[in-house]
Amino acid sequence: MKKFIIIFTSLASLLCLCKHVFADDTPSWLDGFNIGGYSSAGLTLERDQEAQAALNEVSLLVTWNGDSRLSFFGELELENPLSWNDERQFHDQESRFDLERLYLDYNITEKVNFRGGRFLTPNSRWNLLHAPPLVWTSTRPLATSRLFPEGTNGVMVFGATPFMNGAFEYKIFAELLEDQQQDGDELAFEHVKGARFSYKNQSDIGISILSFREKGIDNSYRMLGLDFITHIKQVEVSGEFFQRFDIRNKDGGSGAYLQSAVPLKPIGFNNWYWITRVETLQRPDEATAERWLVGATWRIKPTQLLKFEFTGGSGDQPESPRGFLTSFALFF
Amino acid sequence: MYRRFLFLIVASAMILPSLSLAKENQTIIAVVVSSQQKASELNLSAKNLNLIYWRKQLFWPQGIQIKPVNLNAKNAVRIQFSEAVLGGSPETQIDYWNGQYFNGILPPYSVNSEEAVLRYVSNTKGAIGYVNACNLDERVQSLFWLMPGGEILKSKPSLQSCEK
Repeated sequence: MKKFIIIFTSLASLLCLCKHVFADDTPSWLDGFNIGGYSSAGLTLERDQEAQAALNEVSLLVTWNGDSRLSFFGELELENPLSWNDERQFHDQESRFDLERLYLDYNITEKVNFRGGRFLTPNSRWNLLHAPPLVWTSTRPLATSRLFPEGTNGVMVFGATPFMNGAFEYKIFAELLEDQQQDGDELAFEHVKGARFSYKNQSDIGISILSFREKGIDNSYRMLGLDFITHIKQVEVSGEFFQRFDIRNKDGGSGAYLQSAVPLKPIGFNNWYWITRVETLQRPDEATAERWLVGATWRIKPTQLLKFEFTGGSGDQPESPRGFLTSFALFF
Repeated sequence: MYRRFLFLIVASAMILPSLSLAKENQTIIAVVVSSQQKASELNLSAKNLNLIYWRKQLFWPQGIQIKPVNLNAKNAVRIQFSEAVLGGSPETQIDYWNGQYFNGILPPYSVNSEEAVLRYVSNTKGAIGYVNACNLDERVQSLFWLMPGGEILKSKPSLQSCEK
């Protein structure tokens, strides 16, 4: 079955990428297709655990923009296609396909667009740009994955308008269909709806509001999120903060992170960046988890990152192992 | 004290001409669409230019896809346009375009010469581009004029420098 999928995907890619040898003035609908993707592989030396290596994912991005107001986007991910540890050596037992995103966009007016399908919940900058070649570290801040749904199946209205030499963007969305499949440690949510407003200029700032029900603890929450990214003398500083409130307006969990990326060019390491991050997560009925991270990342090319990091802190969190991690990520 | 003063004078003398040279090297840039296009239908304001070149506005009011075209990242006209309209050089926008790629949005099509911009704009439905104002011809019409200081004008400025 897997072989069939690989062959089918390869053939589809070739069909879409190959152009006609002869000139053709009438564009075919196939001309609107673009295929790309990203992948990452890494080694984890977790504290008190055996070493593990893995090809973390191979993701295929497919876009289609015809000569109309309609466009399509899809992301199909093959997660953990190959893993290695001392005990099981190389294996593919954790390998599985995941439809990360699949949606249609329709342009209504210049400033209003409609989206229907499965999309990333737009309430966190990291969540919207979480691909390994886009982020400085191998691990993801806990607050961006343990407080809200990462994906939503539903509808969205979005757009942008100029504002004070920058761009003001809005996204308003609501869930129509619950997730039909839950991954291992993934939290389950329902009745998701919310909005995000952001402003892009020299610095990017965003504010989001979200309402949802968390199935595991059977409680409804409203959440406020704030995020920013800016550059201070070549140093990238970014951070996010989330606060959840339950239906009685009491604390329903919170989390935050603050991260800096300092270019090491002044000391002779061109395209190397020193990364520092501190983060915290508080979930209902769970102990507070804290993390600190130091590391170095080499931007080999604009689309390739090699990362080394050391993580410490309190509390066991499978998504943020404490110890040494290294990984390589690329867009293709 | 005297040495420091002398050093400052010498340093200023070295820096100031290079600054004025940088401005002298800048040109008047014309933002162009096809001459076949009715400009009034585009309803484009100068403030929307950055939305178009960030690819946050993807359609003209009539529902036609906007197809912005860039000169290559090393081209002086591209750098001047990018700094004035997008607030930074093309190199500073790498992270942004990687992020957009992840979300299925590709950067504007890039070409190597101003002649290629003129051909692309004149032959492609919905296209918009920019060229040195001295290189304008009848295939395109200018919607805006980007002045060396970064000011954007709607009316045609004097192009006397083109006659040199």
